[in-house]
Amino acid sequence: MRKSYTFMVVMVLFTVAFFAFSSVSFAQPSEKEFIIFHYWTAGGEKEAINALFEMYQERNPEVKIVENPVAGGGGETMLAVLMSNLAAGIPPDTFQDHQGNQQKDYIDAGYLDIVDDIWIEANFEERINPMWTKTLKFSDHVYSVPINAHRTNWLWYNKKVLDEVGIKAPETYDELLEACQKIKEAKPEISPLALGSREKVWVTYLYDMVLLTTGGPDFYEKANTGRIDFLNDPTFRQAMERFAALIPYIYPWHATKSWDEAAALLKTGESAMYWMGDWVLGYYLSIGMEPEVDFSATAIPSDVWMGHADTFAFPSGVPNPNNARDWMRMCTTPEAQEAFNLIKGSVTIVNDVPPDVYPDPYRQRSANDLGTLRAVCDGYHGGMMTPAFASEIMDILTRFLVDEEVDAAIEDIARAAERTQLAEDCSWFWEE
Amino acid sequence: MKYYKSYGIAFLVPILLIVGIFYGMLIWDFAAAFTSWQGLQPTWEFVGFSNFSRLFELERFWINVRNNLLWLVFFIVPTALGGFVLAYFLSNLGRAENVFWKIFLFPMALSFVVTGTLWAWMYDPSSGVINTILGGIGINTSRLGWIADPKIAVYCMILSAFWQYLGFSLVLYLGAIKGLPSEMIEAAKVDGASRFKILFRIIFPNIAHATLICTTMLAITTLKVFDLVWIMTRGGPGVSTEVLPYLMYRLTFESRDFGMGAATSIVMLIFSAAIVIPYSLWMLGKWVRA
Repeated sequence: MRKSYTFMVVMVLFTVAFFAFSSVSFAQPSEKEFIIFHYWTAGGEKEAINALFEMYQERNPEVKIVENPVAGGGGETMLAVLMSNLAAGIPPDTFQDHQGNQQKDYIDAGYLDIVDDIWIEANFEERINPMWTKTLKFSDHVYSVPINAHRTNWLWYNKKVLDEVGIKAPETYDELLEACQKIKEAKPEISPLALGSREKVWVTYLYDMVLLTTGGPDFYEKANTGRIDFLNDPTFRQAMERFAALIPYIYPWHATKSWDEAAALLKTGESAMYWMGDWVLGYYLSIGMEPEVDFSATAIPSDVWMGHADTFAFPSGVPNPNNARDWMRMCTTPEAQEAFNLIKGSVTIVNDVPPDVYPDPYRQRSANDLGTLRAVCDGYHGGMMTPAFASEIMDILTRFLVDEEVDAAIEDIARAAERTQLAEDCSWFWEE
Repeated sequence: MKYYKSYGIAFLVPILLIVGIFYGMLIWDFAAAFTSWQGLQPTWEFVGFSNFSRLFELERFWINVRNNLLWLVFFIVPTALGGFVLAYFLSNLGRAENVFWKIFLFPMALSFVVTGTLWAWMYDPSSGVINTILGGIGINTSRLGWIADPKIAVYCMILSAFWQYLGFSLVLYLGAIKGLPSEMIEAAKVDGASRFKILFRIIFPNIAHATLICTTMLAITTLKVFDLVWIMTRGGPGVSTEVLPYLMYRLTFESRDFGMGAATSIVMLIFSAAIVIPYSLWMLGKWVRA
């Protein structure tokens, strides 16, 4: 009996020790490492982050870069893995994030630390569009460094189709609607506007566009932060009616398409125009489409730059704080920003990289516009909406695409804004 | 005896600890369902049944419940029945049976992720194989959206799961049918019973245990179907193909409303228990009586 009792105690100790040591080895990696979580794992993106790694390795040859150390923790699953790591108190040295409400949740949970000194040292605020400061500063502190800027108010179009129909590239909502009508009349077999709603987030991009073109940038910011009376606001109703007017011209089987599959509809000639961010450019080039021959792009509205940034956040209690801070310091330099963005397909956040470094006219225009025009963040990735409201509005809008009922959509949006306390949770945006 | 018992317990300690952690998580989940936890940091503020009432107020929740019920009815009955009828035919095939059951069982080796990807390709309205074939034989496919059509999308998904699980029920029933004493069927034949009568009046009641296992396993599959929804439609068009596990994921990790996500998981647990336990007890009783 005594023997078996001893054996039982040994087994308990063994089991406890197994779990304890496995977590210790996780929590205390070598000081010579730099651990980064990111989801740039696809072609093009991977090369862009590798360019930064090379630059970092030159600065710190003795540091070992550890990318996405948790198996299966890249791509879409990164966020779930990251959340559990942050909650368990084993953060990476930095992770890929966006801004605004996308970042605020981490700050509210106490997961991020302040990096004001890095911004001051690099004179960063003076070198970027004021919109970035507004959406990256919380109670006068910053917690991350942005690395790139993706423009999302681009309308990509098949040049041949538009030329055949005899219309110029639309630059306003009205011109877009008119273009849709003319294409439908001339080529009924074509869906004028491509869309892929299998990932529902892309429907919010259309929503952003109608808000922005209907009420202008101030109204857009108010609507996406819950500062309007959704039920009774005439501008909001008009925006939703304008959205509804576009629905008949949208590719009907959008629910089966991902963003890149929808982009390909321009190549196959099944669609003529596509509302999508600038990352689609890399895709078009990769499938052999020639800029300004097969496709082109136009910004709607032309006097506003809308988009979002990818940022590197600085978690609390990181295992290698000096390495993390050096990474962030490097990312504020024009050299790092240029090296990354030339490959990534986006433009630099900083205005001190000249637009003519980009080989294509779209990014040249984007960089130029970002330095000179009024800029706003897009609703979801730009963190204007809260993740809770965004999740609800994605469902409401994808249903709206099917039933086209403006009243029901407005009521649902108003209810969702109330239920998720949108205005309250976005009040930080309006603090001076 | 005592010696073996104490050693048995000692060897069970590691797994008991893991099971203990599992039940601890269940209790933790239950507690979270009654808190106002939103955002990434837990807030253990007790809010009673507020998460549940908020959940029940969502129209989307009831669409999810309806879809789960559709899965229960339109997936389990055809799959079990199809498997049973096929098993009966195969059991009469002689040596060819060995080839056929393997063919039918093959899709079971695939994960729902692979099945979902394959069927999503086939259902694609513009370039999928189904519409291409139908178009090739002169049928107008412009209105056939399959999983892009909210009215039929959920049934299309059920069909792909049926394809995958038919082999599972076939093999279960095949084993059960082969276990029956041949005298029973011979006697029925001598008494002049038709093939149909032999199938449904003699064989089916005598393999109730296979039906119990098959339907219970299929019910569990439908209640936790997530991967197929994620891969094929992400719950769309709109929320027309969402099911409760998917809603739980969206509420928890996208809306970051952990309280409501936990409440959804409790509803699922009750839903599963309410279906599986009474059914199993009823079938077990029936089987034992038989």
